[in-house]
Order: sequence, then structure tokens, then C-alpha cells
Amino acid sequence: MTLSRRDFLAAAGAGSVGALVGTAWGATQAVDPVTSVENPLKSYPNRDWEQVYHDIYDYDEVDWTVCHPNCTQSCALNFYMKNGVPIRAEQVYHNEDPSVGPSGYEDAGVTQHWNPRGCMKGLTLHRRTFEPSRIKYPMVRKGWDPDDPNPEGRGEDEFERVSWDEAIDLIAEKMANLEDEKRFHIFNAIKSDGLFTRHGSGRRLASIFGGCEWTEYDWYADLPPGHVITTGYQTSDSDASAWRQADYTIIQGKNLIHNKLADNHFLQETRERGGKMVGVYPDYAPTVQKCDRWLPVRPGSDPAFALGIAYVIIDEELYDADFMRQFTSLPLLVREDDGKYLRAHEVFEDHEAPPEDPEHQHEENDWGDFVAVGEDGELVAVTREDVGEETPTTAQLDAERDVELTDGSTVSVRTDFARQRDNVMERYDPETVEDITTIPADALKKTAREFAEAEKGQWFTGEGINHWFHSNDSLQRAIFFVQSMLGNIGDVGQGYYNYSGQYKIELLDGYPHYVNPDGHAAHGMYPGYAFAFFGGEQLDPHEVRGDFDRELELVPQGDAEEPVMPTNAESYTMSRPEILWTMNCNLLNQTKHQEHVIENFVKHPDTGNECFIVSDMHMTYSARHADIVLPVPSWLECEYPDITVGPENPFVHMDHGVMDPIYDTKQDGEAVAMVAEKLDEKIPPEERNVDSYREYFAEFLDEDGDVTNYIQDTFDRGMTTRGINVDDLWDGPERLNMKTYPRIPFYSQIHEDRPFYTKTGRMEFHKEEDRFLELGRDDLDHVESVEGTPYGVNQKWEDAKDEENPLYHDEDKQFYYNTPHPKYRTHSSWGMTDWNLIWSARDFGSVNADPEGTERLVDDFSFPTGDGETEDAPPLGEAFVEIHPEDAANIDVETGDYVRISGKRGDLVVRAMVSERQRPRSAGDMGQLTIWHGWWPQHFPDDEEDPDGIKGYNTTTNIWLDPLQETDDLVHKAVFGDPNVSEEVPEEIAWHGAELEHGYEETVWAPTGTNRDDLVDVEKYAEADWKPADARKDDAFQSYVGGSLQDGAASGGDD
Amino acid sequence: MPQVKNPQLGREHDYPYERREEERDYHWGMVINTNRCINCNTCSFACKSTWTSGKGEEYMWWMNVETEPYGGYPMGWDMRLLDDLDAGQTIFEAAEQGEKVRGYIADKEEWEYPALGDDQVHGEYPTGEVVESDLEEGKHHDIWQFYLPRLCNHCKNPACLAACPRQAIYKREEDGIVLLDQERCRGYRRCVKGCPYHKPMYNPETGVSEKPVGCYPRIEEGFVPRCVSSCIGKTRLHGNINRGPDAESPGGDAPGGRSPINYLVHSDEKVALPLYPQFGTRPQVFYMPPYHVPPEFLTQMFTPNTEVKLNDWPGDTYRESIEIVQDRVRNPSHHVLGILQLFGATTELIETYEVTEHRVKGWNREGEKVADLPFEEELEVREGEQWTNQP
Ligand code: SF4
Ligand code: SF4
Repeated sequence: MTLSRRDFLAAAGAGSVGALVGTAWGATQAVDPVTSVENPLKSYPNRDWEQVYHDIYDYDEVDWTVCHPNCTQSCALNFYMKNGVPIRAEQVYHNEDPSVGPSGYEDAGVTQHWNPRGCMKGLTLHRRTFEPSRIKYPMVRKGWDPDDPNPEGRGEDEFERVSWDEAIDLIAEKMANLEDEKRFHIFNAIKSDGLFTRHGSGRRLASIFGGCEWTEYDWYADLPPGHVITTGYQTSDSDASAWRQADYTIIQGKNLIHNKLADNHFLQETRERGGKMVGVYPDYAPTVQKCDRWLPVRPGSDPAFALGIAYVIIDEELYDADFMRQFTSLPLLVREDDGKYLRAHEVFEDHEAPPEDPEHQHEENDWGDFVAVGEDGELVAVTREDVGEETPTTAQLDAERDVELTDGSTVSVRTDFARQRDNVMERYDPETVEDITTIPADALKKTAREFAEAEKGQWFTGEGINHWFHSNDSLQRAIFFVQSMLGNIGDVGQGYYNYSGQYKIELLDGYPHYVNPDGHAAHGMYPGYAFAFFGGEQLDPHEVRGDFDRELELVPQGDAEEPVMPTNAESYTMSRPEILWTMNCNLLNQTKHQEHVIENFVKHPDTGNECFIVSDMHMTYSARHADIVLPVPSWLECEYPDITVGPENPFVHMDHGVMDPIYDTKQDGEAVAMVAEKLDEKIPPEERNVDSYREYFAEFLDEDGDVTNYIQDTFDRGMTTRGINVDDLWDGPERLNMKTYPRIPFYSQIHEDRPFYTKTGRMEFHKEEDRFLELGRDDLDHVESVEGTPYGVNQKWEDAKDEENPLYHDEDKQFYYNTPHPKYRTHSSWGMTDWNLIWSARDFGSVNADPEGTERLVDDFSFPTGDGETEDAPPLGEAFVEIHPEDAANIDVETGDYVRISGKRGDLVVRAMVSERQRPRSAGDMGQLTIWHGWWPQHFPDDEEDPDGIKGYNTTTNIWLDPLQETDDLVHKAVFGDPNVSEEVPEEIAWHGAELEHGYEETVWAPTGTNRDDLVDVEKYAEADWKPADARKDDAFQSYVGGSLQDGAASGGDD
Repeated sequence: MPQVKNPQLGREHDYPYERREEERDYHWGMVINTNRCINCNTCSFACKSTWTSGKGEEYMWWMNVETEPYGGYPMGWDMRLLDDLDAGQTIFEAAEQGEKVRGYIADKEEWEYPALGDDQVHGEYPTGEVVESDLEEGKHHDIWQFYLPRLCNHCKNPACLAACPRQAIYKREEDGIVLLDQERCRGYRRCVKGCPYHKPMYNPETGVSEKPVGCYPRIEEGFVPRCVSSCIGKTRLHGNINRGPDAESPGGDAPGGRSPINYLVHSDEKVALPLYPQFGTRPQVFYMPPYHVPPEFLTQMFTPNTEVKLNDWPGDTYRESIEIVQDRVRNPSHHVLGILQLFGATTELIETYEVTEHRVKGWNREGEKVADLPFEEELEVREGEQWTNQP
């Protein structure tokens, strides 16, 4: 028998983790005689054997590529190759000599401070490549037929191997037969990666075909709408190297030391340079270790904390009035009668009224001019451009009066500052904030004073907060309020950052040239609705809306047959996906409200989705449910290079494969190109959306094609990349051309008097848009959670505090369900990679798949291949939920036992880890259950009561949609382009002439599908007979922790 | 039995072999700043992918990071030995009849869970309170954890070497790296038992023990070990621990004098301490201790932990030593801060260095400059209307 090289490699990979051989452990104890070495401390006679490790270390060659998952960092790594197989990866360094792989980041013009980059996940890319869960060839679900999709069989039917040609033909045929092109949908998880030869090519196809294109980013709740509400800008994040220069850091609900590994040191280094760090978390999240002070907060009450800080700053007059006058809406007058900003034409005869039709509102004074009270008490008109030093007067921040309008009537007005101040002073004194948040008032005051005193203060939030219904806008607005009162915006070491998601595609600003060629753009589909409402069955919108919209008129929109949208949200495209093709994401594993999504969107007989195509490397939960499965190469096997940019570093990276593919895989770009070619065959020219679909992918298909031409053309059309030669990227990353390095958001606003991307040209605190006014959320406030609170839901504190949430009090759902991002995985990626799985399973991760004494309820991990076969992997680890010891004791649970977690939307069974870092119910409200995000269903045991039920960590979560964020009125900057300078940039720049936008825009403005508000209960499910806790609970452990384990020791001695 | 001087303990004690008369000119050494460590375990994966991905090595993590106080690989390794030792007793002095060192063999199960306790915390939830660390006021977190990267210490009095009845373990003359001769070993596992840090490990497939190799194939080429070059926390600096203030320039333009790690460990401004020096092996990995952790615990972990202080560390008691060092680490001097910039700057071994007001430089063993960086990168602003940070 001869093995092909490909077979050999696959076999070598699969066998790489085996169980320890138990019997061999008891090795010989005998000592056979041997010539003695005189003194091995001084010298040793025969050292030839040392060659052994030289041989292990040895390699034939080095190649490099880029690790670029949704961790958002992207790291160049050298791969050391032996016999054509990567044996290990190493980080790259400046000017390495001998030069191996890329020259490092020095070509990108940064110092050695950026060395090294690349975490443990990058170092196991080669192991991931050899995993048993790899998809090896294209497959079609046996129960699926193009004309009879039989969705009930998804996730259960066997697969059949097909050729690439057959698979592509099935897709193209289905596309050609669509009645409405809009029902062809491309879905991807992340935006600024895989841009040309992976899912970006799918987006390009959707654009020229007339389909929809959507992303996980918005509804996954990574998007922080409070940023857009305040500044009109997507998200304000700086390069990581700016973090180090802060004197004071407040980090709230963001576990940065887990989820930004590569450049995290810049934050840790602030403390060496005299910086102080304060953490606000409900639990001792790992990042708390790095904080000088931890303020334990009631989950979901975060906005009140920031408002309490604002109270102290106002009360003690610690603010920077000049900054507030120059860069914020705070000096502008707001009408008391209708909540709108007073316009200059309302009070001055000589000012023209703006156009009323929002279609004509895109720039400068399209929204009218605004009014402030000057030093001398006279009203002064302030245009949108009158910002910074150009502000026409030293406006009064605190003014309240009646003004006469040109029509002769009189109206009461107050400055925005007076509005916010009055509200904050009335509602958010530190003692009240202590009641709301459980953060001691003294500590809050101390923190506020220190923060105000610090020269440079930065504030971080992230997914932990964004995923709460209210915090995701209220907290963000309140933090901007504090930061702008302190002048902490626009300089290095200052700012308010969020860093959730790989969304910062604007940094590659020539990209529209590729993804929206010749003016064709895919519809930006709003995904939250698809999952909330596009099933065979309907959800009650009120359930998803936290009851918010009972007052709002709900009307059908777009193509949707269902009543889902409030009025004035016409820009929110609805289209039921008939063909859904996901690339670069594990949609069904990561979706919230998983049971509903699977039952009513995926498997319901009436689902509109007739063809579900999943392109993936692994047989994920999503791939398991697909009709057509397309295998893609790992990043190490890719044939076509591709580009990545990210939100926290200034680099543009180009990755490319380092080894031959081991399976029958194709990169997305090639698969898409093949579909395009087939479309030309199947669709007559007159019915096509463009002359030829194939032509847009010719570089993939032509004999002499070169996809880097797409990249270079795009580079040439962007300000950030003009002048970068794509060929140089083969040698290592380059730096993008930004206004500043490190990139500091709003640098030009503060230093060059450019307007912010709002109607007023300033950071806006009061909002005048109708939806904000209707919902009573026009000013800064804390509102209780829509579900996750013991108090009255969805109300301000003064009303909420005396009410009881029946779900908490009567139905005993007293835990909140926390799913922070893991570090050994990125979301669900690396979920089955052996070493990553062992470590991510913590106390339950072991190389011995079923070690003696551990009763594991999880089955073997098996992954279907063609024709009923499976590929099996050893179950090296399993999921677990952390629970505080008190709460665990209460249900008689110890570490290792299994529990059932149940909520309104579903339940799951999982191992418990008793964990002192969790917030207990005895802290006064909800107990915390933490389960790291991204586990695969294989990591959970079957629930015996419901053995066929849906398994996963997302079964209990909801998709909450906030109607506040469903309005076309909000003005913001589009993803690409800066309207402030869009006339200054050359015409060939993709965004030349860009203006401000309104309404829905993917990754900028949309409801975010929050999931953190869900209440659940927990009960014991089964006892386990192995408890690592035993090792920790004995007396020795107590002495150990107290430092007194050694008799007669300095630190105490045993008593 | 011969006596050896142990400056970490400030006294002499038994050791089965005579020490060489003079210290080596060059000795492998490492400093780890635990305050920077983010527990990413990139170091662990780097080590494993380089050295132990073979058969019988599946369970082996020569490099691992433990979350104190709950972590432990093998489970509870340090607790068990501390419990067996009286204060003031090294593992050589506490050896049982017929043995050279006091130790134990961890059970198979105890090796099975490398991530046990990872990221866990010890303490009471601070209901109604805050948790604060403020060294000026003597405050530390009263609910705490910290990350302890653990590796072979290439000790100056190696326990594994002392324990091996076949003399298959030796200390290399040129760099002090302690190696286990794979050809001579017969798998008696005395090193596995004797090393108090539990870094020699037994391979049940080959029947031979293995121990960490200090990345000697890299050291020989002038590169730092994988756990150092892979450390994205910039937590580590590797080099010649024996290069003192009087040493000459390694060549070229390089200044003479101390290596940067020698400064951190042996200067008057000591900021890095050995792990469990009381075991008596003179480990050569030194830790900048976490400043938010209560000093009682750290006194047990990073000092000789006796009532009477015998060595030359700062302070009158070991607890004072810890507090002084914690303070120095929280508020480093300009010079120490300068050396901290060299952490993770290059893959090359930095033999000598220079800290000036705004820059830090490092030279390799050949006297070539391999690190040159400012304390802070300057803000670059592009002139011209057309540039933006929000493109
Ligand atoms: S996962 Fe992220 S941080 Fe880790 S190596 Fe890959 S890109 Fe870098
Ligand atoms: S690589 Fe560095 S930061 Fe990460 S765990 Fe290891 S020592 Fe800590």
C-alpha cells in the first residue's frame, strides 16, 4: 500500500493527540550500575547526544503568513517547515538576523515596542489545520433537493460527497432561478478581514447580482450605538500604543486581558509609568487583577455609575468649560416645548430655514444653524462649522430663559448643559448611585476626583456592556459626557474606546472600489429581524422589544410579510433569504436565542430559506445544518493572498498560504468566481444585472490572472493605502496612512476645528430625533434592564426601585447569564483544536479523554463526513459554568457536578465550576453564571429529559431589539470617507465627495440584538465523582493561601 | 556531604557535589515581570510546539502558567513540599534516609489537568465594599489571583542533578543549562521525584525521563528561549545572569558592565526574586512579584521564609523585602523602567545595555546593537487638509 503525501499528512495530524498509556506509568525503579561521572555539576564527558534536540529544533525552511481571526488583531507569524509541513510558528521581530520570513514590523515604521505579536492561537494554526473536524470535500445534504428543500432534515440528515463542479452548479442554478435577486444573501461574521479572496468576494458577488449582504456585527451587539448617537462616528478606538500614555484608566465590563492579547502590554505598561487603573465589573474578571481599584457593580446598572461620576464633576466644578463650549452641544439652547434644538432661523430674521426633507440633509447647514447665549447674554447663531476656536462666542453653559421667536411667539429654552446638569444633579448623586449600582458612594467620589485630576484619562467598555439593552447606548453617552467635560477627547492617551469586533473596514478606505464595483452595492440587510421574525413562526415583537414598543406603531416594511418595524425606518432593508450563503462564520453556533433560530428559521417547514450554504474549514454546528457544505483551506493552505486591517493597530497585513492543501478545498474567492462563471452560462445577457458576472472575477479564473491586481487597484483608490505597493506586502506588514500615528479618533476635530459628524457638528448629548423624544430617552439617564433586574423593568430608578420584577421575585429566575469572550478560542474558532480545548476547559480539560475517576457525560466528538461516515476526535474537554460558592452550596453543587440552567427561551445542561470570582446573589441582586462564549454543542452533555434538544451556550439568550435604534433620523458618518475632507481628497479616492448619511448602515447604525438582560435559574442535574476542589479545600490549602504552610516560617507558621 | 554557599539563603547547606570554584562568566537566567503577565499561555504553547509534541509527551508542559493560588501543574505541587519542609530546611537537608533530596512523585492524575484553576480567584466577594491595592497605605487586594509562569530554573544547585543515581543529568560548562542525557537515562524517575519544581517529566512511551532544555539550540545561536521570544505580554527578559558590574564590553560599541537581568536581580535596586529559594536549589529564574497580592503569601513564595533574615536582600525581615520590592516594581526608577523597555524588544540575547534620558539600547553577545528604542514613540501628525483619522 502506498500513501500519497496528502494522506500521510492527514494521518500524521490526526494521531497527534493520544491517551497516556496507563500501565507504562509505573516504570522501573531499579538502579543498574553505570560508570560514574565525577561531578556533573562541573563537567560531563560525552555530550554528543545533545544533537537529539538540535534535530527536533531543525527545520528546512521558513515561510510566514498572518493569523487574522475575529480577535481583531492580526499577527504576522513565521512558520517553520519540515518536509513541507509546518512544525511550529514563531512571532516575527524587527531586523531578524538571519532573516527568516518577513522582516518584521519595522517596515511599517513602528518601534520595537510593538514586538512581539501573535498569541497561543496563532501558534496552533498548524494543529488546527490537521484537526479531525476538518471538512474534506464538498457535500450535499441527502434530504435536500433544490425544488424540495425539506428543511426539517437539517442537522440530522447524512451528507453525500459531491464534486466541486456539482456543488457550484447547484448554487448557480438556484441563483439563476430566483425571482427576486434580493433573496440571495451573503453572510459573514466580520468586516475588515477576508476582504478580497474570501468572504469579500461573496459580498462583491452579492453587489453585482443585486443580493443582500449582512454581518453578525450589528445584531451581535458589538456595535456601540452610543458612540454614533454622540459623535456620529462608528466607534472611536485608537491604536493600542496610545493606551500606554494615559495617566488614568477606567475599564468597565471589558475583559481586555483576555480578548486583546497581542497588544495588551501597552495597557499594562501604563501602571509602570505612574498610571492608575480602576475596574468596574460585577465579578473579579481576570482584568481586575491589573486594576488598582475594583468597584463591584450590579450587572446592568453601569450607566448610573458614569452618571454618578458626572455628578461629582459638576458638583465640584471639576470640568473644562472651554472644551465643553467648543466641542459639545452643551452650550446650545434646546426648546422646552418640543425638545428640539432652537434654530437660528427661529429667532433671527436673516437666517434661512433648512430643507425639511431628510433626503436633502447631508452637509453643513442642512439642519439649520443653532443658538447659544453669548457672554453678554445676547443670543448668538452657531453654525455647524462654528466649532472649536471658531465658536463665535464664549457661550454661557448655564442659561435658561424665554426667547421670542420671529413669528412673535415665546418659547422657554435651556442650554443642553443645564438640561443634563439638572437631570444628573436631581437623580444621580453618589448615594442614589450607590443604591442603584451597589458601588460605595465614597469610592465613586474618590474615583471621580482622581479621574478629573489626571491629565490624560481613558475609558474602556466592550461587549460586556454593549450586550445589555440599555447600557449599550446610555452608558456610552454618559461616558462621552464625562470625557468631554474633562476634555479627554482627541489626544494620545485620552478617549473613550470600545474595541468590540473586527469592524473597522473604514481603515481600508478604497474598499468600495472592490466590494461595490461600478456603483453596484448589495443591500445592507438588517439581520436582527431575520432571526427575530423571519421564521415559520412569529415571535411576539413585544417580547423581543422589552415591551418598549407597545406605544409604537408597528407596520410592515420592505419585503417582510410580518409586522416588525416602527415607522420611519425605511432604510432598514428586509428580505427573506431564500439562498443564504455564510462564509467565515459559525452562524448557528453563535446566534442568540438559538432554539428559536434553529426551530423557526432553520428547520421550520415554512422557512423561506430554501438553500443554506456553509463555507467552512470545520464541520461546525452551522455546517452540520447546511444543505451544501463547501470546504475551505486553512490559512496555512490558502492559494490566494488576502488583506486585513484592524481597529487597534495601524497595520495592513497580507496573508498567504505556507503549505499545500491537504484536502479538496477551495478558497471562497475561487468558489464565488466559479459560481459567477456559471451564472453567465445560465442567465441570458438581457436578464443579467451586469454584462457578465464572470468578468468581475476574471483574476481568479484566467490562466494569467493575478488577484493582487484587485488589491492594488483598491489601494490606489484609498487615502490610507495610496502609495503602498501590494508587492511589498509579501515581505511584511505596512502602516496605513492616517492623520496621526498612533491613530487618535477626533484628532482633527480637536486640533483643527473640524465638526463632529452630527447635526450640530458637536458631540451631542441631548438628542432631538423624534424616536428619542417619543421614548423619553432624549437626555442622559439610567434605565433599568428590560428583564435582568430585581426591580421594575425598563424604567428610570425612581419608578423602578419600588417595583418588583415578577420574573425575579415570583418565578425565581435570579441569575444573570454572562457569556464573556474566551481567550483560548476566538468565538468558536479553535474550539476543537486539541491544546486550545484542553486549556479552555480548565479543570475539565485533559489529554486523557476520559481520565479515571472522572465521569464525563459528554459523548465522543464525531463529525459527519460523506455517506454516513464520521470522523471522531477524543473529547479533550467540555464546557462549564462558573457559579459562586454560596449559590452553588444552595443547590448542593460542587465543582464537577452537572447543573441545568433554564430560562424563558431554553435550557442547557453543563458542568459547574464553583468559583469565588463570580458575583453571588447575596450581593443583593442577581447571582452571576459565567460560561465562556463559543463552546461547540459537542462540549455539552445530552439532557436526558430532552436528548434530541438543541445544545449550546446560546439556548437561553434572547435577541433584544431596541426601537430607539430603528430610526432613519439619526445623522452619522458613513463607514467610508470623512465628509469634512471629502472635497479635499483627489477624485479617484473612492469616497471623494462623501456626505453625511441618515438611518441604517451596517456596522454603524442599527439595533444591536442585545442578549445580556436574560434571567435564568439553575438547579442540580447530576453529581460527578471527581472534584478538583477537593485538592484545594483542605487545611493545607488554607495555610498555603495565608502564607503559613511551613512550620516556623517568617510569615506565621502553622497554628 | 559537601557544603555549598547559597547566597539566596545567606548560608551554606548540604549538596551532594562540590561547586566549581569560580562562577561561570556566562549563566542562563531570566526575569519575569508577573505584573505584565496576562496568562495568555503563548509561552506554554510556544514551548510545547517546539519541544514536546511527540509521543508520550502529550501531557507534558515544560512551560506552563498557573493562576495562584488555585492553579498547579502537577496539582498542588508546591503545597505538598512546603508542608513537608520546616522553615530553614532545604530539600537537601530534609532528604529521607538513602535519598539525596526530599521530594515526591506526582500521580498520573495530578499531571492530567494543566489548566486547573486557570483564572480563578481566592477570597470573599466584597459585598458593599471595594477592592483596592495602594502600597502607600499598605493595602493589597483581599480577593486576589495572579499569574505565575513556571519553567525549569536551570538552578545552580540542581535537585534533579543531585538526585540522579546514574549521573545522567549535568550542568553545561559554557552556559549553566541543566540537561538530562537522553541516551544515558534509564527512567528511574529520581529527577522527577527530586525536582521541587516538577519540571523533569517521565515519558511512558520511551521509558526515559525528559527535562526542559533551556532552548539550548537557540542559546547557542545567540537567541532567547521560545517562552521569552513568544511572550506577547513583554513579561520576560532573558540573558546572562552572571554578568556583573565589572565585566568587560562584549565587543564593538557595546558598553561593559552588568547585563540588564543582572541589574534587576543583583543590583542595589533589586526588583526580581527567585521562586521558593527555601528549597535550596538556587533557581535562576527571577520574578518581579505582583504588587496587588498580600505580602504574606509572597513571602512564602519568593523569599527564604525564615524568621531571621540571613541574606543581603533589602529590609530587616523577608516580609519587608517583599514590600520594598513590590514598591519598586509598582514605581520603577527611570533605570528599571528603561530596562523594562528591552523586554520583548528583540529575539536576540541582550548582553549589555544603556539607559539614557529618552532612549534605551541593548547589545548582543557579539557586541552588535540589537535593541534601540525610545521610552515613548513620538506622536506623528501628517500635515495637509486631506488627511483624516476617520477615512
Ligand atoms: S488569534 Fe489574534 S492575537 Fe492571536 S495570533 Fe491570531 S491574530 Fe494574533
Ligand atoms: S506569554 Fe508572557 S504574558 Fe502570556 S502567559 Fe506567558 S509569560 Fe504571561
